[in-house]
Amino acid sequence: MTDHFGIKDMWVVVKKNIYLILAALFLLLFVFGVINYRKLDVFGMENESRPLYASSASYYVKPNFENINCDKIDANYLRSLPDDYVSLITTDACENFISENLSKMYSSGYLEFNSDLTVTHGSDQISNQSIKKIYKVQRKNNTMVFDIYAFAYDKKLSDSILSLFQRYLKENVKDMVKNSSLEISGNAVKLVSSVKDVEVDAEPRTVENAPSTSRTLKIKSFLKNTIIPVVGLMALLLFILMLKAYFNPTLNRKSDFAQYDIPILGELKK
Amino acid sequence: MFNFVRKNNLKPSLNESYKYFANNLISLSEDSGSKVFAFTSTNSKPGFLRKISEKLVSTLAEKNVNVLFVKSEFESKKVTLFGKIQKFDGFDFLKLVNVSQKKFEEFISENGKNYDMILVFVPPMILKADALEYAKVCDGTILVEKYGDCYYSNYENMLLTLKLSNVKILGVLTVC
Repeated sequence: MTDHFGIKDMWVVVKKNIYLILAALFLLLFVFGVINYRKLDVFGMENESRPLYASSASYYVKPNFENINCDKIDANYLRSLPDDYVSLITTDACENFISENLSKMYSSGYLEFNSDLTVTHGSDQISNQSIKKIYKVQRKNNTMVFDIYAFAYDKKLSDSILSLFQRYLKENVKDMVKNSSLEISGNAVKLVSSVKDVEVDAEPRTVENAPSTSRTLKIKSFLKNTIIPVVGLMALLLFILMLKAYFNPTLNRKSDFAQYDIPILGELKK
Repeated sequence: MFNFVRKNNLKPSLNESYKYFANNLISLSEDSGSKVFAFTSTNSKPGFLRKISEKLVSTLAEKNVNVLFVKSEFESKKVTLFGKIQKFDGFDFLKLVNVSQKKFEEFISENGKNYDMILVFVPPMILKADALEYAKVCDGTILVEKYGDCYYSNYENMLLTLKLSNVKILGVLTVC
């Protein structure tokens, strides 16, 4: 079997199936191109004209061992301490506090334009549902640190939202959580393309870069997400064609026919 | 500035390649005394043998060879057709459908003397076993195979079948 299939025969397989290969190539490029093009923000409007700022602060939850017998402290108890703070920030009371103060500080038009907040016209009340879109609190896994993120299309507003959270922590939470205290680890502002981006590479202590970088990265990932699967699937197609030709080889040239001791009377062109 | 030199293509053109084969066939006929040639293939693509046969018969006619072109078919429907000999420019044509070997043999013995050469194009033997019966009646069989379309397994099976049936294989005509 291997005697009948060599490098030259591979080329014959490609030539024989050239229309199939080209059709598959264009179809795959079209399909993956369309899929990834839809993911790409082609006009870059959201990123370039309205960058999303993520102001963040990291807090270290410091256990208070005073008045506690250290021998009896359970590790699980320590692990639960940051969760208490996270739970308190996500309460309705905290959200109301943010909402009320933001309404006092900024006009409803400013808030709606520069954030994802929805303000009821007339009463100037911020919708409770929309408040959840402008912040994120997440605890770093297996650490005593948690991060607060505030999102807005204006840096000033994102800083204000973050400072309101910090004020709430300072004024209210202190009395509610015993046996621990908070220490701020750092603040930062970074540009993100969406709220989801924060989850991917949350690093609140670094200040990041311009939106153009984000767009370049998107185009690179578009090419990567299109070309890699197309090349992979084309390689698979070629492999299948070669495998088929390997197990069922064909006579591809004069010398193949000559080995049967039958005279070759002529060679016709197509 | 740039001198592009086109590589000479030493392969014969389409028409020339048919002329070379026609000459070979005439020489073969004169040397061996064979007159009735069966043409078959492992290639079952419709029209493959037809295109070659039409061109070949026309080329032989140009060389003033009195040719009878017999096209045989074996269909699953039980319809028998022994067509009449049709006269074309330089050659005669006959179509046979599901005609038995005996009748075909009788026809050849009666009409063989009227022609310089009788070319019988039979369907692929791996598909139609009856085609083998025709090949037995002919003086020799020529295989027509296309590069890249002829599977080793099919080709070897056909050669074995022809050898076991004592059919004389005159040679192979390859198609690029």
